[in-house]
Amino acid sequence: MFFGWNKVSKKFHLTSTWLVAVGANLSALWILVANAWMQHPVGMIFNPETARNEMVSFWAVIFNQVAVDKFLHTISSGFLLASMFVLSISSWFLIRKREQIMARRSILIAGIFGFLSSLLVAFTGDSSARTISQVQPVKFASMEALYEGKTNAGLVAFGLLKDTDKKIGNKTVKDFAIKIEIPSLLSVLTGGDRDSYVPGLKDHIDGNVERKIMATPEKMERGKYALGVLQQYNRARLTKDKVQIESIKGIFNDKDFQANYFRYFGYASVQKPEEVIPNVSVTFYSFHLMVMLGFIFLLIFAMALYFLFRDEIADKRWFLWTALFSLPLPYIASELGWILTEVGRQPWIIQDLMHVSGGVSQIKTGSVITTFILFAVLFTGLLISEISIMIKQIKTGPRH
Amino acid sequence: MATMISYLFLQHYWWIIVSLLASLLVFLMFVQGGQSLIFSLPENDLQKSMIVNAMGRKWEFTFTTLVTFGGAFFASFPLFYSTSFGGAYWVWMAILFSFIIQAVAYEFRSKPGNVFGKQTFDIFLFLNGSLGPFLIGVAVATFFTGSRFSLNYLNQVHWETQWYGLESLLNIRNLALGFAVLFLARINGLLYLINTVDDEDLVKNSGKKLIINSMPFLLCFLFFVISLLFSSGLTVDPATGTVTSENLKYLHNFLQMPVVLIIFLAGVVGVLYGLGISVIKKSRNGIWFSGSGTVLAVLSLFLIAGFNNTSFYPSSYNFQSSLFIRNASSSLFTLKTMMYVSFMIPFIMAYIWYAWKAINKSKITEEEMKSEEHKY
Repeated sequence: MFFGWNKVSKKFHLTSTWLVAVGANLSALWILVANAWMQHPVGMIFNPETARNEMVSFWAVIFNQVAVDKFLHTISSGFLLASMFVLSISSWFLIRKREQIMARRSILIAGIFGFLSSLLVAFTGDSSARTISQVQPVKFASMEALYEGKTNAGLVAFGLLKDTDKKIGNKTVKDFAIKIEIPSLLSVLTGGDRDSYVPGLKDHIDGNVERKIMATPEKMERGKYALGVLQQYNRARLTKDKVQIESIKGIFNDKDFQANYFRYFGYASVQKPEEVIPNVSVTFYSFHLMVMLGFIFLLIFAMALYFLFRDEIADKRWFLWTALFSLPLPYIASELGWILTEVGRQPWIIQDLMHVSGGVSQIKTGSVITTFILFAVLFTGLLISEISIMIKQIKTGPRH
Repeated sequence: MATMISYLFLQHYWWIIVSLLASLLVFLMFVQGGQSLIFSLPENDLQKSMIVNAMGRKWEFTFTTLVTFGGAFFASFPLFYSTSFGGAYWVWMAILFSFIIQAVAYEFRSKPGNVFGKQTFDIFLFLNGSLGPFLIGVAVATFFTGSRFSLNYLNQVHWETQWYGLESLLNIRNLALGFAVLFLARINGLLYLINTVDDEDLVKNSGKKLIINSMPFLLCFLFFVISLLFSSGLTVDPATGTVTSENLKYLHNFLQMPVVLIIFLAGVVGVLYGLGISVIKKSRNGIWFSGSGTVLAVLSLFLIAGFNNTSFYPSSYNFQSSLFIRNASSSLFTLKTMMYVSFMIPFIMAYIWYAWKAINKSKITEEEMKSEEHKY
């Protein structure tokens, strides 16, 4: 694409450019499918011989609801980020009264594309949250800081958390210092009506018979049972007991065992029930800040289009400065989204099946810290260089 | 039984694809070879710019092949991935860092406002050019020389040294292959420059460097190959799964798979012929013989590493933990799904071929370096 100009035909060049765009989105697809599988493992059966989950349905893995939500949410947030980038730089040109025609045209495209992307981000975000409430309910309760389950649950639009004296195990329960709540909306968004019950963290730890929610200690027992079966298999393999090997393989293929025991396999590594609660403050704030930013973006793009169509944009200097300084915000929102995804799924590396402790290698902590520092220093240096190059290019402006 | 055959077939099919990618990668590392020469070969800034741009237009091919090789290896033989990355940590990290700095170096070096200056990014290119091929050579050598690890019943790796991969730098055979790959990359880099750059002085100097770099290459390569032919290897009995050490295993592999031996010999002859016509006849097409030779020779080395019930990742600590094509692969279903995807490879190759030819239509000249809009 870069060197092809003047060397290949215009059509071939355009095709290459489109292939780059499609390829970039496709590579996002596969990596997000892999991540989604860890959040909600589907389409596989555990093979005791190789001690791993093996894919049995390619389509179940691809069309995993989490994967679909995640892909659409991630790429639309990427479109949004790109739009904000263009809007910000164009605003800077208008502030400087340079390249006005180009800047206005760019704002038009970025405004429309950004506005539509923001809507898509909001819709896919809503769908993502609903999916999380079904497949990762503990993450969901954490991101809403919901300890006690309830019907008519309100949606917290804004809230600040504080510690309380209460504890679940050794974890301190958080409560709201301030909150602005939209009544019943959480119940409506997750269950379709205001009477639907939204389980809280306590329901997941202690269980709730009435609502058919299994207690964590029960899941731990079932996980240990499943691990015990795997250990029996291993002993049979060592003694080359073929009858036993075949019979245990049968257990792993049994639907009832899969649905009621193996699906809690990872709980065998859980020491205390409260361990399955992720960091509530981190998940709550990252989620709510991300959502707030999402609505701010929608507003900014709408205002950009409004001022542009009224031909007032060059005079609204406060808006141009706001747009300019909004440049880093979509990056922050994206990072918040990933913090929510990854901190929120703790302590699981594969939801309910594999505890993070099971995925850790024996590499020394010091080595990992060293690697981290190397990465941090190198990438910070490269980031400085990259930003400096971009600023230089932007200041130079387009060639006429 | 039918399932067994097709599973075995798929495991071998994927080993061939991984081997082919590895051999293409070693050929394409002529880019790294060229980078490793940017301080010693050019006599002035223009020549340096020509070298960087000749390599720069190809670096993405090498990088993408590296990623595809890694990805295909990971997907088809995941147990290798988890075992090696969880154990030989520092070697892989060093390889990773040496490639991170490459990508940005090309993009940033000539841009105004890059903060650290051209020289810094040229050092990055030099580091990637020297360390990349060397470390990859060392890592691949462990496919023959082995590592000290064991696997438990959950297939979790336990590395039995405290060096986590650095110990592979203490083995003279690993070092020999590392240096052989590095000097081969430099030879191919020089041959590529001779082929693609239109500058008499630079071509002449490249010819001189070619002779200097051939000596250490031949020395290291011969040492590695001879030691390989005399070394023992681990073999598995397919019926019982018992792993034993077999004397002269790799020599036996060559003799029991004569096609692989022919590929290997053809490869060696190709590299030598490419070198020969460039040095003696001053031909400018040596890269095509040397390049094809490189692909064939590396392909055959990968085939004797994994085929014929040979352990491609032997554990010298616990034979039974060693990795074979049959115990380290993905499931039948996964390999089959991947096979369908692999049918797209010829189309991608055709696209690469077309793009490569279009970009290489004319040689890199002084005028182009001064006029080209997209220049590294």
